[in-house]
Amino acid sequence: MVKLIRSNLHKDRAVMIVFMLIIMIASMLMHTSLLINTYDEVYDSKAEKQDIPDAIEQVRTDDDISGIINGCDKISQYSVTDMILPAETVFTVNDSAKEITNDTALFYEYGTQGIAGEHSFVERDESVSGRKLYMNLGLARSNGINIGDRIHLKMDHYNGLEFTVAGIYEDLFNGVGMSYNSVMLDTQGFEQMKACAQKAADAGNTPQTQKLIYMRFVDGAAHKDGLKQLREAISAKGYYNYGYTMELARKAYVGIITLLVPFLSTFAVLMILICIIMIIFAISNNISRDIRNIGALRAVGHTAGQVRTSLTLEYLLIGAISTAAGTALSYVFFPMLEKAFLRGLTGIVCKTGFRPAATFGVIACILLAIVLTAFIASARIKKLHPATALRFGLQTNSFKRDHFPLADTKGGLNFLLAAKSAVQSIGQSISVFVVIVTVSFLTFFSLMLYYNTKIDSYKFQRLLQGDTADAYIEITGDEARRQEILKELRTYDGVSEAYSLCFQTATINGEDVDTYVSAEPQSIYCGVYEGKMCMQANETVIGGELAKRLGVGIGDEIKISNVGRQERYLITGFQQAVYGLGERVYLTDEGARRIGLEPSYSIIRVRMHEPSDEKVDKLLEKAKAYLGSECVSTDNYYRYQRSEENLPVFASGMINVVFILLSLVIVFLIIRLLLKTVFIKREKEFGIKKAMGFTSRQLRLQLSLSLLLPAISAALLGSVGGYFLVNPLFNAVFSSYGIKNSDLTVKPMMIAITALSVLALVFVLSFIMSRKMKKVAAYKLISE
Amino acid sequence: MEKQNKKKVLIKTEKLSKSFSVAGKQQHIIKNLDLEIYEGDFTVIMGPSGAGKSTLLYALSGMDKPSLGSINYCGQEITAMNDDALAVFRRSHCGFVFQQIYLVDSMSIMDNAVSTGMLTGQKKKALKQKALTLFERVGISSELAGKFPAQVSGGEAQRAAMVRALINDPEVVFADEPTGALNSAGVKAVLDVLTDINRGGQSIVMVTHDIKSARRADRIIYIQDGGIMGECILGRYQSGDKKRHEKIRAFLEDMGW
Repeated sequence: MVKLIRSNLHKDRAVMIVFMLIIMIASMLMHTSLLINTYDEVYDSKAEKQDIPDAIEQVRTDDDISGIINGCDKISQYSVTDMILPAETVFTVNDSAKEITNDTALFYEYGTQGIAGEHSFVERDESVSGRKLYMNLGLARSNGINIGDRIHLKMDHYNGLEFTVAGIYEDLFNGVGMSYNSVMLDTQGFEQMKACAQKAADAGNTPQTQKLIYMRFVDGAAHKDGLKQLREAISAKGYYNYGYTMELARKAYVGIITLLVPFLSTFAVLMILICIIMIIFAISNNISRDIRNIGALRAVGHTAGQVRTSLTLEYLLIGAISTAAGTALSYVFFPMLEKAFLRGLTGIVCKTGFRPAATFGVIACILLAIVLTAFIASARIKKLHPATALRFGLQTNSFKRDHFPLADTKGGLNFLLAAKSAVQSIGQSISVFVVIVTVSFLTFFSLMLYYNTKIDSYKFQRLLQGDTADAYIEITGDEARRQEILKELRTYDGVSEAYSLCFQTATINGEDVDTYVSAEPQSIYCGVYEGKMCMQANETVIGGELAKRLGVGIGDEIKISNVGRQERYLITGFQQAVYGLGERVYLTDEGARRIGLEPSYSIIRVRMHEPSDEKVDKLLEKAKAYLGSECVSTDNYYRYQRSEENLPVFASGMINVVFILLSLVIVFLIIRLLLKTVFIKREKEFGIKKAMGFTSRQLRLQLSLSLLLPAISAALLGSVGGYFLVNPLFNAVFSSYGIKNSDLTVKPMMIAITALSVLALVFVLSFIMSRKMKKVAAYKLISE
Repeated sequence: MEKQNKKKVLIKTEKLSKSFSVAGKQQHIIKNLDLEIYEGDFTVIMGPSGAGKSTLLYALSGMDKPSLGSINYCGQEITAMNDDALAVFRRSHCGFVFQQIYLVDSMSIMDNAVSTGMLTGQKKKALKQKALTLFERVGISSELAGKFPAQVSGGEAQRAAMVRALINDPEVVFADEPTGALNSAGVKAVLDVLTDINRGGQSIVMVTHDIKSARRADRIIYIQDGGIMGECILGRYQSGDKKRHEKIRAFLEDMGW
């Protein structure tokens, strides 16, 4: 048995190498996706280890607020820290010309974290010279900032402050792109910044000094209830405030990264499917090739089961080596990925260590699939009588029909011979078909993702965050002035809409809901996938997940309340957005005021016709000039949406790179495998054809065309499948994020681009890789 | 010899050598061989096993490159040609018949012939007609032409291979022991076709071990140890010429056959 396996392995070396590589990559991807999936667990473990608070709250005031906090019976422990939250901070690192602009950085004094305790430092060097700055890991890694770097800070009204990075730490509340980003300064530096902030406030600017409250709740109190109690108390005093619980923070930290998991594992599963096809194809070939040997083995007394077991063991052995190598590689690959990308995305260090459940789970699942496939694929042996096998052993060809007779079929010689070959080598054609369908689907997916994140990203951004605009302008002034400003902005070249959207919190059935309010609801595109936007005071649009949970539909009425006031609203539509998890509520300005909400529209959103970075910059310059000191800040959101700073765009870029690289690897390996098989099987035929006067180029062309013919229908099917299935796939992947009706842009042209690219790749690779044909003389081919 | 010299030279070799590396050792199969093949001749190459007959045939036909020396075909130096140019040379000037037949088994007999014809740009309709005529000439029915090589007998397959060799009206047909695997009826049929096409003006260069087959030759070249040991001029073959057989036997005895 062992000898038989060794003999098969030797004969099928080329197939086995490709098979090993694909299984290795598949198991590596699957294992890596499982390691990424542990981020939730890692966050919780760090939270427990660092004993982080239950919630945090930012309050825009310089007043003493301890009395308010002490009045909240759900809070058991708290600490208050002074912090500065500039509208925009510009970091310059080591005198570089490149400026890093950030509007989420908040600053406080090192050592004043109170009950948050000492953050967990990843790197630290107290020996650095100058004023010390400590930065959270997410902000540092995503901007390439390291220990010892000199940082120049520039903010509105500040002349510039110089610091040296003395530490990089994990902050499990304010340390990731989707939240605020904490930066700690030494006492002197913070005092200087505070003085500057005070001067700015004295000059009539929006105050930047705030209080940062860390809190823990009494046992048994739900974190969101405890936070709600505090926020209501603070709001009642008229202070602007913003806060979130540890559970919400965790979602911000791990949400984006865990989105990679379904994509990586889907790809791994597709690769395993390719392997299954390869096993079926290879075993069928083996049986045909070795039919006489099989007959001889059966004749001397081996049972069909023994022969099948030997074939199965061959694949089991290769599978075991490959999956073990793949999972081992994953332990090498993951730390590299974690250090290079994931730290910047998540703001936390993830050292997974050995995960026996994930490792052995992946190995067992893949091996089970291999064993079952190999055993079923070799079922033919069971029905093969020894005498039949011996008698028909030499008969390797069973051509029954003359496909495409050359003299009677239209078309060139190379094309017709390729067509004959494609039809006669049905196993090869099926393998090509399956692989190319998969690769085309992935290519279409990558192309679609690229188009929707880099070229026309409106739908993608709306799917993520609901309403989005090209430019944001933060202003001061009352509602009358805001209306004047909107009127003015709408007259600017290229502006299609100018409006405001304000974030509030209301209550439905006793639960807080994120509530978005606008006085210009006709301009809001918040991802209404069913029904229409609310326009009247008694109308609302709610998230699909929320509607499902409440058991309400369009046309139903729901009660929305705020601080004891409750009103009924007619549901006019359902809305979706990944960030809102399908739980948002939209109201008109008038509708919000019915329950006592007091929306403040300090930010104006501007949407443009055919925007570009330059057009938005120009618009913002013009707006600043018009507004003067009324303009607090501006943001070219069009640029941000497409930049790598935008985490979903960054993650999509990573998915694209992974998909495209792996597609290339798969196509390369499969073509290599097929050509190896073809050369072995048809070597004599090539020799004869060369002797008859076919040139190497003609034979290579025929080979490439014979692969291309099944690939054409496969590429079309894969890309058409992509055209119709990518949005349903997004719905499935993001369903738990409230996505019900993904409407990402897919264009018929993408089908053509995908199919042509994949076909060009197949043709070019197969043509290049068949150059072996050139080196062999006709006589040698025949005589071999 | 003098009479031969008046014929037009079709192929001329000068100092032709061919070596193979076997288990790290160079084996010289053909050594400094000078040879002329004449237009319209039925030339037979004979010699003991391992003498280099087939190697010489494949070198002459541009199927294999010599290690040294030159091969001139009607003024064209074929040793200077690259792989693709040699393929074009073979399709344009040569026809091949092998002992192992070497039809492409995934193509019908008709397609084996037609594919070779299409290489030279002949029109499909005319090509099919020409193939049918040739099939008829070698005694293969049109029904049989639609079958695959595995579905016909060895003799039929060899005759089909001859149609493929003739489809481009080659100036020279190279035959490597074409009757080696056939029964006596098959041998006669194949030799008759070769003689027939030679009478039509096409040159034949045939390697054989068989004296009966050698009787069809105008000229026999005897090769041994990679060099020409001698040659025998026979003139045109006439059926029933008993002296011819004796002459060949005597020549071969002289050569140590």
